[in-house]
Amino acid sequence: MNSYLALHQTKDESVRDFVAEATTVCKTAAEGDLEQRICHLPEDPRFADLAIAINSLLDSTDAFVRESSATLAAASKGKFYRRFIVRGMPGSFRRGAIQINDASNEMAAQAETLEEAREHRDEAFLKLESLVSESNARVESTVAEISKILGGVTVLAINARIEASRAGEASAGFGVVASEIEKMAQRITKSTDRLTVEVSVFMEESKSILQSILAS
Amino acid sequence: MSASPALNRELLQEYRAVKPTGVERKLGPEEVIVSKTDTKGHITYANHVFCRIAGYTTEELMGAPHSIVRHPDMPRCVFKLLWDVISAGNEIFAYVKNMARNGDHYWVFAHVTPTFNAAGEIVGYHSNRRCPDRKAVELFEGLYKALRDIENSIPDRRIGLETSFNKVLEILESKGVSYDEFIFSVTPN
Repeated sequence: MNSYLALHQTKDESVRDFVAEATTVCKTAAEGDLEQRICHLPEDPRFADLAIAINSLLDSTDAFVRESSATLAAASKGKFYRRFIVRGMPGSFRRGAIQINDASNEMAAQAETLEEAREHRDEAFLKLESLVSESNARVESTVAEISKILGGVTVLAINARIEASRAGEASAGFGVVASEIEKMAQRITKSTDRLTVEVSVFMEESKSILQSILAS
Repeated sequence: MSASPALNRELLQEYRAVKPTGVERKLGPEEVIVSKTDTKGHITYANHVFCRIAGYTTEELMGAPHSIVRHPDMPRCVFKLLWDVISAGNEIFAYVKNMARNGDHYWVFAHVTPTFNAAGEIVGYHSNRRCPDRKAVELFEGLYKALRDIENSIPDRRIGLETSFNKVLEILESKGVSYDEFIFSVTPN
């Protein structure tokens, strides 16, 4: 304390100015402003060395803060190529810089894994989408085939009914069977129509779900 | 605090008269040149490494334009890129050939960042310059020579600058990378 006061009160003006400047610079740095430096080097080489030492401490701290925030900001934007330049960073600053680079590399690796997983998922869903389309097409063609057969059955039943009415009393039972077949064919047609609608609704909904997943 | 305008004028006259010697000075592998400037590029701080390698005293450098260490071999388009980037509030890395007071030169790997005030406005710039990788220096020596030749071959300075700047963009486009990606790809850790 005494020697500090002595320096403040010294008659040597250059020393007094240096002490005042150094005090201000250190105080502002302690408050988080890393911009100030001692710009007037005292003539006394011992004090000049002290001024350079204080400036160097501030330079290292300032550089570390600038570099670390820039590196992390870049990493958060996916620009993992922007590394912390370790060269010129002494001691603890260097270790901190290496740790930041390690963390950034880890983030890059995780981002890559995530991207790969997304690609796999997209592939699987595209496959699923084409499977759904294919089976829909198969259902449609099967339904069309059934409709065609039902058409034939209906014509046959109508003909059978007409033939039965010509044959008279003896084949009345056959006529009843023929008209029952006709009614059955109509019911089957209704069911296949409903099946077609159900399948196309399922198809549309699954397609929109798949597309919303692929777009995410 | 800046040096007297008279001293600045004297220094600039001296700078203009100096011819490159072709002698290279080298930064120590862990040495860092540090400087700060105001928004116009006038030096507000120069560390002892800067003073030693460039051959000026702190007093002399205060208030001097940072271009006091510019080497005539440097293409102007590099400084255009640098100013475009930092005045937009971004950081930039660049390989730069600088000139010492007596005409010797020294290569640096420069990192320039803007300094913001609490309101987010740019109040100055900060530059850290490190010892560059030799392979990168060889690469940029060749690249800069080509760009400088373009600038020198066109009598209209503005068109010359535009042409060499477009050449830079063309080179980057052919490599399919941004300027930053290119710089980091040729810089070992």
